[in-house]
Amino acid sequence: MTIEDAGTFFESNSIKLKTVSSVEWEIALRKAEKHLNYRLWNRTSFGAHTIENLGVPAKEYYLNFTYMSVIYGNWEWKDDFDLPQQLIRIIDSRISTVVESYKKTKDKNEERLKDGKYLLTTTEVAQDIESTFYDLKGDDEISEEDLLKVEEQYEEIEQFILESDDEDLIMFWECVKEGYTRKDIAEFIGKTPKQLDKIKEKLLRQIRKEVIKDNGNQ
Amino acid sequence: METNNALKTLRNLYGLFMEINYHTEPADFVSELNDKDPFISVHLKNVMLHRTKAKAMLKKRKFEELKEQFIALKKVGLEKLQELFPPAERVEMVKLFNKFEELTEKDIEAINEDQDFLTFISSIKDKLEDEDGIK
Repeated sequence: MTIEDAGTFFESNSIKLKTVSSVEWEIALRKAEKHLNYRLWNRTSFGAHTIENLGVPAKEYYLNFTYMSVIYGNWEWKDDFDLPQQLIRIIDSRISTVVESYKKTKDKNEERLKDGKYLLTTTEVAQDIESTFYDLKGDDEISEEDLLKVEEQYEEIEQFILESDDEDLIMFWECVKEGYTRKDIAEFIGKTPKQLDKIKEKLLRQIRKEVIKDNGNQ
Repeated sequence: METNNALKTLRNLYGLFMEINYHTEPADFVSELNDKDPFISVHLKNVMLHRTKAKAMLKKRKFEELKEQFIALKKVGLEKLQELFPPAERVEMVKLFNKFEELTEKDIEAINEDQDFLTFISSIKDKLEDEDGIK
């Protein structure tokens, strides 16, 4: 990275970054890593987010991309968001861009794919980021092998819930099946977001090993 | 359960995890900091290295900008620059004007940290722009 490569927001981001401590950076990175674990679930062994396509493991690629973009001002750190949220927003936008480019390239230009030109694209895809948590447009490719893993993981969770006598956990899982959002679930089962987070952690403990295994890039 | 339904439900689940994570306060992550994560440690180190590099780059950029401004102002000439200020202000700024006259390009690095002088240079530049449209 040279001074000529620095982006439009280099100075304004640098001013904000002056007050960010290493602890705050670590928290931001941890939060972004968690996001990537969830976002890339079942998406790294086939398609746009493979090592073959990105050149490095997906988690490595997107995490590096997001903090470098903030540090060198290629993306604006907006006042509306704290650092972890801004990193997550850049990650999701970049993922959308990579997926979009991958699909176009795959359909129309095999040579461009080989050259990896899409990796240099910095186009921001404008979208309501929170809506993409549930449906990342154009990111539907999944291998047969991964589909089998999905079934296995689903059955494991079902079994875990069946054997559980924790009513909150049972309700939580039913809400997930219905596609409820965080706010909907909190209202439906009468819990605060903090309480909801604890229920989530219970379920996550059960499936954490599967998440890590499926990402294949730890 | 059909595969598609399983896939849809699990995507809902990870979507929900993402949403919860996004809204979790940074302070709630503090307790996790004791558990060392090698992946995070490598990237944190990289962040700190690039922050240092970025700070140096920013300093160099500001220096180059200042040098450019300084050369442009020198070309305008001290007499004309002094006329931009009312006499009373000019007296107050006599030290700064003297400093400006004595400075060479080589001295610019030394004044890069001199906030009063930087403000002075900036005010001259603003006045010139107001008067002549010079940038």
